[in-house]
Amino acid sequence: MHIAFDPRLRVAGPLQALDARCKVLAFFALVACAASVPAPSWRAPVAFLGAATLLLLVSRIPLGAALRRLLFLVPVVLALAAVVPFAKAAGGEKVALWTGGPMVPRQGLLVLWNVSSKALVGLLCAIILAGTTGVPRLLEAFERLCVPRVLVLTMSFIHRYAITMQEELARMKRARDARGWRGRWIWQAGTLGSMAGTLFLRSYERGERVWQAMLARGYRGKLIGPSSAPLRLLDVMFVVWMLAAGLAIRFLVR
Amino acid sequence: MTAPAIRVSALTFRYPDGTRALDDVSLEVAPGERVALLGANGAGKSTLLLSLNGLCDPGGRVEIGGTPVGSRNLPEIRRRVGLVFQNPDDQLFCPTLFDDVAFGPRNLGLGEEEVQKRVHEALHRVDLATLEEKPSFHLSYGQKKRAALATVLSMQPEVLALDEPTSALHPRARREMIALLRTLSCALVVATHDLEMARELCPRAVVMARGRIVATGETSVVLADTKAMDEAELL
Repeated sequence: MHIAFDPRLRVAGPLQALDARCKVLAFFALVACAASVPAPSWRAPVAFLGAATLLLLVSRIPLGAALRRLLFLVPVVLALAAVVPFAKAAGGEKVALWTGGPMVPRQGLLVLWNVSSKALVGLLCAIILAGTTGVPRLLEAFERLCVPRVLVLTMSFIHRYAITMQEELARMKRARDARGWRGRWIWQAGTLGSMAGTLFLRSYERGERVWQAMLARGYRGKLIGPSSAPLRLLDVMFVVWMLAAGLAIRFLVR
Repeated sequence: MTAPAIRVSALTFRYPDGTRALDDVSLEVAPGERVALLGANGAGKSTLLLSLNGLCDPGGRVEIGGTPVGSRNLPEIRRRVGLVFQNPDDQLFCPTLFDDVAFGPRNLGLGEEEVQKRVHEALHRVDLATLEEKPSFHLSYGQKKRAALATVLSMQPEVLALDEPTSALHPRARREMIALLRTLSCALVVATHDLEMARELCPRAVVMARGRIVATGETSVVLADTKAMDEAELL
């Protein structure tokens, strides 16, 4: 289950108590600073990763849950690792990957580290933001921060229907496994194909009924959360602190 | 004279595949009256409930408390008509039970204090007050059924349209649901094929078959009308 959808991960913590709008702005500032680090730098990405890890610890999000979500990045990094170090093969100093191992351009390795670490910082920040805020408050914050409504609505429906599809899939898997399906043979792959088709149709129909249930209770295209409390000095200071930390790492760490 | 809670005249509706779901249906329900809508699967009961809330647009006329249902007054109609779906999983879609029960009142534009008051009242009424922070998908089926009812009770409707409120409930949960529904003062239209519940809960019954009303009257008399019950495939 996505970290933002899973209320079991909701724990009390200092970040959880902050205003959602300020958290969105603060994390956006940190990620923007991290993303703007020039390619040859390796110390600044380390500092940004350190800052993001510190925030994860402060957030009190269960570390196992956060690490499992970080695994999404593994295929991306592997794909980059297969291409990026060799993209700048022409010229430049070459280093051995290990003693007696293949020689790769140092510049290429730096670029790979730079790109991967930025992706990691971005994902960590997304996990912390989602895990400490929850989807309804996040959507409300986006709306108040004047994110285009069509985007906010799209995100809200992804939220609704992701859970719906997950439940439908769980039911179908139960029904499949109860009848002895073991997925061992190639000819059993057809079952997965028909499950995917059925999942789409069932989710579509369920989605229609959920939509009707929303309309029946007066939904008019706007998700209304509890009205936000006024901004406190602490909320504003969090944005300032995160922006200052991001800028300091960006420009002072060489 | 007080306007009826529901007045439905000459309703006709066909689904896009040509299935005739409602065929010249007319019905009146007085304020506070409890009416059972009996019929087999596909008889048109659910479509009739959807049209009370403006969720389907049949030919004919639907009035709620004297106000005709139309695209201009849908927010007002949806405040006045609470619709509870047969499958509670369709009705419960928010991260927590509290958010689900607060969804309707928030859409009404009520202040947070009033929203909280109504949510607590509604959850207390269905005996789920201790579970408000629990995600709906962690509730038992019986709790989900009661939670679905709370999601509309918090909107304080004048009419409650319930689709199979006792389906798939174990005997005690079924009895508790019936007892709970008896305490409500708003008009109730209950689509069901639970004939015993109809007898216990509703003084009046309407029998539907193939989109038409085939019998209406005092519940005990209607249930004894073997010709109508047979036509509605309820015997």
